[in-house]
Amino acid sequence: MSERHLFGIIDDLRSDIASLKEFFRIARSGDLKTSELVSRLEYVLSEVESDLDLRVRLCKYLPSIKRRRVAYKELYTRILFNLRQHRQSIYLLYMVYELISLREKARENVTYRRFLDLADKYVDSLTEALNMPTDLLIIVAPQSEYASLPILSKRAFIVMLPPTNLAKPWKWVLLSHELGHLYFQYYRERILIRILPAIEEELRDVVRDEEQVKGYVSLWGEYWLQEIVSDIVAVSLCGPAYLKMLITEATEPKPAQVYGAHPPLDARALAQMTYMKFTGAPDELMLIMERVWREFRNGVLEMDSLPDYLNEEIVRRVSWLTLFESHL
Amino acid sequence: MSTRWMLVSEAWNLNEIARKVGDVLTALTLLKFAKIKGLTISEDEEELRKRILAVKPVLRDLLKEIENTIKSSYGPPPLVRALQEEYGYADLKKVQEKLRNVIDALERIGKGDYREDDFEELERLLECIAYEASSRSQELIARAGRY
Repeated sequence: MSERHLFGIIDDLRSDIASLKEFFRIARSGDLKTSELVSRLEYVLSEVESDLDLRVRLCKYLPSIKRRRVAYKELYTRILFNLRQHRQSIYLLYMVYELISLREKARENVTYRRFLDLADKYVDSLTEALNMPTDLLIIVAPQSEYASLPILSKRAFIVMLPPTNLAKPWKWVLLSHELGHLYFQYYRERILIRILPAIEEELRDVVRDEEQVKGYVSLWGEYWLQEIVSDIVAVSLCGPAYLKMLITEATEPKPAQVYGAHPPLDARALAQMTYMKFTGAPDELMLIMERVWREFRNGVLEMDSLPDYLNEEIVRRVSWLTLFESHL
Repeated sequence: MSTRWMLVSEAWNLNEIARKVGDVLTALTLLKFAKIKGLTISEDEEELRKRILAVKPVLRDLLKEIENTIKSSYGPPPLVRALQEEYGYADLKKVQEKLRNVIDALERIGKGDYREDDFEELERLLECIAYEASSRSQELIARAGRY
C-alpha cells in the first residue's frame, strides 16, 4: 500500500490543467463572447486545481491510518474516485476547447469573422425572442454539422454550424432548431409530463404489445419529442424559411424513414404545419408552407406512410399540446 | 442536436453530479473516521458537515425525478434506475421512501447528531449515485469520441 500512485495521478492532472490553461489563454481573443466562455471554463479548471490541493492534504492522513487497512482503503478509494472525476472534467473541457479553437481559427479570416459576429447577433436575437434567461451565454462555433452543446451549469450554450454554411446566412434559420433544444432543456420536465402520456395513449391504439409501447414511449421521451418540439420552436421563430432550409439540409430521399434520434422528415414537416395552423397563422403564410412542402414531397418516389409509432395522429397531437405548453 | 453533442452534454451533467457526490463521500468518510471510528482527523468538523450538506439539492432533484417518473409513463432516468437496483425495489414509491429516510439521516448528521446507521445509509445511497453517474459519464464520453 502506497500513496505514491495517488501523487503520480495528481501530478499528471496538474500538468494537464496547466496545458489546458495555456490552450485557453491562447484561445482567448479580443472577441468578447470567446473570452466570456473561456473565463467560465477557466473557472472550472481553477475549481479542479484547488480541489487537487485538497486531495494532496487528505493524502497526508493515509500513512497514519495504514494499520487500519479498511479505513486506509476507504479513504484511498474516495480520493481516487475524485481524481477520476477530475480526469473526466479535463476530457470534457478539452472537447469544448476544440470548439473554441475552431471558432478562433475561423475568426482569423476577416470575412468569416464578420459572418461569425453576425451569426452571434442573429442567435442572440432569436434567444431574446424565446424569452430565455439573459445571463445565458450563447456562442456560435463552426463544426461539421448543425448541432448544439448546452452546458447549463455554466450558463453556456454553444450552437454549431458547418463552416461551409458560415457565408450562407439564409441557412442560419437552421440554428433556430438548435435553440429549440435549449428551450426543451429548460422546460423538459413540464413538456414530458404533459405530452408523453398523450403519446402513450395514442400508441396504445396502434401498438398492441405492451413492451413495445413502453419502448416507443421511451424513444419519444429520449429523442423524438425533443426534435419535434425543436422544429416547432424553429418554425415559430423563422416561419416557412425554416421548413424550406430543413428540406434543403436534410436532402432526404426517404422522408418516411426513421434514423435513430431524428423523426422522419414527413413527421417533422407535418408537426410544423400543424402547429402553425393551430396558432392561427395567416392563410398566406400557411399556403407558402404547404406549397414548399408539396413541391418537394410530390417529387419523391417514396410512397410509404409514417410508421405506426410515429403516425400522423401522434404528431398532430404533439403539435397541439406543444401549443398549450409553450411560452412561444 | 447531433447525437455526439447530446452525449457530451449528458456526460457533463453526470460528471458534475459524480464530482459533487464524490466530494461529499470523502467528507462523510472523514467525519465518520473522526466521530464513529475514533481516528484522529484534523479537519474542521463544521466545514465537513457543510460539505456533506451540499448534497441536499442533488437528493431533492432525485426525489423530483422519482415523482415525475411516477406521474408520467416515461421510464426511470439512469440514477433512479440505479437506486431501484441497489435496493431491489421495482416500486418507485419504496425508493422514494428510502430516499426520504436518507435525507432525514443527512439532516441529523448536518445537525451534529451522529449515528452509525445514518452514516451507513447515506454512504450506500451516495456511492450508488456517484458510481452510476461516473461510469455512465465515462461511457458517454467514450461513445461521443467514436462519432
